[in-house]
Amino acid sequence: MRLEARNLAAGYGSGFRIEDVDLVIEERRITGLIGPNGAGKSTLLRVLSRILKPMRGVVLLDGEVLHQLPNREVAKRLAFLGQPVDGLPDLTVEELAYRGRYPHQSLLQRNAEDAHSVEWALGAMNMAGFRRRPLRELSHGELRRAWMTMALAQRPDILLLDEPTAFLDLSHQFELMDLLSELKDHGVTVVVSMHELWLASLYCHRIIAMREGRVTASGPTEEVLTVELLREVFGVEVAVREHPLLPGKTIALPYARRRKSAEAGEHAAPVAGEVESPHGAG
Amino acid sequence: MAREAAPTATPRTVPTRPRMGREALAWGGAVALLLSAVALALMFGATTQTPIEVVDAIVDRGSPLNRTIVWELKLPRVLIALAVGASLAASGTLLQGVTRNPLADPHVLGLTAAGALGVSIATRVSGDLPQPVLAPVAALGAFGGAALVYGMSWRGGVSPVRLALSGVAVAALFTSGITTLLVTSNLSTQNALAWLAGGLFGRGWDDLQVTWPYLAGGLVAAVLLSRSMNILALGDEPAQSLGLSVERTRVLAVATAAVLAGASVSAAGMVAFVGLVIPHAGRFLVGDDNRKLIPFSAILGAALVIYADLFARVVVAPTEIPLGIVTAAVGAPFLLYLVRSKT
Amino acid sequence: MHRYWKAALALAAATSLIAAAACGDDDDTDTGGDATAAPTTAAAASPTAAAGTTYPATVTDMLGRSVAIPAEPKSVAAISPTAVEFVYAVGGTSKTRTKSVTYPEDALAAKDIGSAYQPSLELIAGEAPDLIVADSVLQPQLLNDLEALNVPVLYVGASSFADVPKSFRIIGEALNTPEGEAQATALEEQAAEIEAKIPATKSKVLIVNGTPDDFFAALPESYVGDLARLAGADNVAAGQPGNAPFPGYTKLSLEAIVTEQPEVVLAITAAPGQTISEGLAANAAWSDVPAVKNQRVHEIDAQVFLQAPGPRAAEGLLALAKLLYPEVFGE
Repeated sequence: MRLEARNLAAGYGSGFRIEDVDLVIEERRITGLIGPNGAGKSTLLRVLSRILKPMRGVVLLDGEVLHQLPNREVAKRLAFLGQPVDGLPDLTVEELAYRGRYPHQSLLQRNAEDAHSVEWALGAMNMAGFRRRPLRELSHGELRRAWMTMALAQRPDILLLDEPTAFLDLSHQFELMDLLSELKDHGVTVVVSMHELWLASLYCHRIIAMREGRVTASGPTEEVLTVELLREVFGVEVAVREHPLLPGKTIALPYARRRKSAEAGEHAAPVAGEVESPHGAG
Repeated sequence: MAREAAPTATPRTVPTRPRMGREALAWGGAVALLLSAVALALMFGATTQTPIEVVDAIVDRGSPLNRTIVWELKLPRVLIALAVGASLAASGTLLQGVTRNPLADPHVLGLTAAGALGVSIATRVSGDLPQPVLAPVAALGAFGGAALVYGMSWRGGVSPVRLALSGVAVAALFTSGITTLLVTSNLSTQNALAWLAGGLFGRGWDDLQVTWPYLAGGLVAAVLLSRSMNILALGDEPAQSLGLSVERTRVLAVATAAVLAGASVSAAGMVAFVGLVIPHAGRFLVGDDNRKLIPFSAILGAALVIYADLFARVVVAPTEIPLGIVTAAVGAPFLLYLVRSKT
Repeated sequence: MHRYWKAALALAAATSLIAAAACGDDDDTDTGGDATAAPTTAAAASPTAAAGTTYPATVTDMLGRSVAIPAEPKSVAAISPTAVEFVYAVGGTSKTRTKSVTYPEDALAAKDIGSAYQPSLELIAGEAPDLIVADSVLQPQLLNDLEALNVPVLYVGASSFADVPKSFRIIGEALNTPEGEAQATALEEQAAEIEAKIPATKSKVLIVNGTPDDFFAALPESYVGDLARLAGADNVAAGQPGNAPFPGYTKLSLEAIVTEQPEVVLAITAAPGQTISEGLAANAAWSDVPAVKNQRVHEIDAQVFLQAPGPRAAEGLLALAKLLYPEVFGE
């Protein structure tokens, strides 16, 4: 399930929102997509999920041009989840989950595989207790989880998520990322955009950083999450360290807006042990 | 599939719904309503026949007068009312789904006016429109109207909001088109088009024969579209993610709604409110799933129009009042209630 | 309790909507003339001497107005089919006519001023008339506009048989011709003659106007209904409310018609294409109706009985009598 973009440019109307994008999404990994608002993350995700057509270049799914593949076929392998929509207040969580089975269903009724997938998705998102609740009764976080349940019920091999952690409280954010990890362990390729750098650094193996419609960097997390790059992409000062409690994992901690004079204080590689003060002196 | 089996939860069969009891009641009620409508409409009207007389008349065993009244006059009229009611309700359900607007129906979005305008123009041009041509001309007119609505709301794609607004604009356009045409026509054209105002007076077997293929075809198409409509209802992006061809589904839904509306106009003239009101009642009773909602609305719509026509025949018997007035009298208060409860 | 007032309001609105449709327009019930006897309807107020009219004259028209006519009219503008036919029937000429006028032939030479509902006032004025003859049934609302032309306006018209002799006398007086009185008297005499010969058992008659698929039944209060009554018809639509879009007609259900078993059907087909008589003959629902079985479904002239009521009442009345009782009045 190899997803690739070559020389990609896309937009919503006259101009390009993203340009010159060349990417290969690593299979069976979680790839984080980071960048400031307006960088083009959402646009990229939409093109990768064929919801938006490229204006230039192609997206390839296993070597085939994505936008020429039949919709239904793609939907069996790839799922996209954006912001939850308004409307459908009376649909229950369970009914919504069942709609996720659409790509796999034929003209006939639902089958055992559908029930199996829906049950699994409900359990994985911890929404089984909400199954009969109508969507209008859910909190914003619960609503997102309900939609996530539907995307999971779709049993995609590739899951593209647009800021799924926004509006979730901390424990649910971790719950979601743990779930995505589990999915990855079961062979699902995940691309997820988010603003929470600390979460991205903990869970993502690869990071794509975008700024003003272009990919600034793309590669393993440790290589991309550097002080210089984050300064360039976000305009913030970020401390990058090895996680004090999780050996081998980095943690990226933004702490100030970009300084005019970039001091050569921070290094790309995490320094074991102490946290250096941003002001230089020990 | 390049992955292992997902962690299993205990697989269950299709889970039961707590609303099951209420839903069964709703379906039973709707079917009972329809059957009672048919029975009462055959018994009552300007004249009354007992149930036995009705049965005798149908099997051609009773008096010739009753046979004429029940078989030639009442029965085809009831069947047309049934078909038109079902079609308008299904059309309204489709349009409300496509536009995601609870105030959409074939009348509001100009489809009935488009069908009527098609018939008006054809009548004016040809002087006399033979009956077998009525239904297809009206369906074609409604089709054209739908195409115009769709085209006007196209900008890279069609958003439900633009669709609804274009529909309202087109409705106004076509309605004034009909008025203009009537006002500038001679008396005989005006007379030839008087039936457009709505009503089932004089409808018989030949009218049913001409229109039922379009209505039946449209209803079947509507039912076949119901699963796609369910996905469309999730929103354009979720629908695309699930593999639905969103524009194609929208076009098919609007086209089906147009055929249903046009054929209904050719049978019963312009009847409003059925397509608007019935889907809401349906949603309240059986929920949003189009696979249930569309057939349920069809049954309910059929019952409503049969009852409305019965009322129109009985209230000032032996004369009749136009069907459109009765549906408006029922529909308008309901619409007001709807506006109040949703805003 | 007050929370239900909105529901009550909506219900009242709905009910009144239905009531309005059901009752339609039935304020023309008192124009059905009682002209069963001979000339009970006296002529208009001013004395019609065979000696002719002296000018300046004051004539009371069909709307009850006193119309001052300064001199014998030389340039008459009749602005509806009925008005035109009345003028020509008493030997006069009209400078104007409306679009749908086809009788008499002489009238076709007159200036077409448009429809009777909205005639062109400019064109009327352009003919420099010294008398405007308007329609008391179709055009009373045009009075103010017509008076603004500063020409005497005389209303004639007929919504019932009794109006016809009245209108003849009025137009005869206004145009100073004895023909008006002559026509009126002849009409009254004919009505009396016919009435005397009508058999005791009257035929059950249905009078319809429209198309084969969509028609209205004429009530006895309508013009054609009144003529039919004088010709001895027992109207199956009698007593029903006038709930058609135009006065004097009702939407009588087919069930009721079939149950009534009318012996004669008189039809005015209002649109091109299949006539009502053709349509009924082909319709299985009507096959048991006596009128259809005995081929007594007759088309009657739309102009005479509907669009230009009045001037040709004599021929209309006789035609109906012959259709209803051919054995008495001949074919």
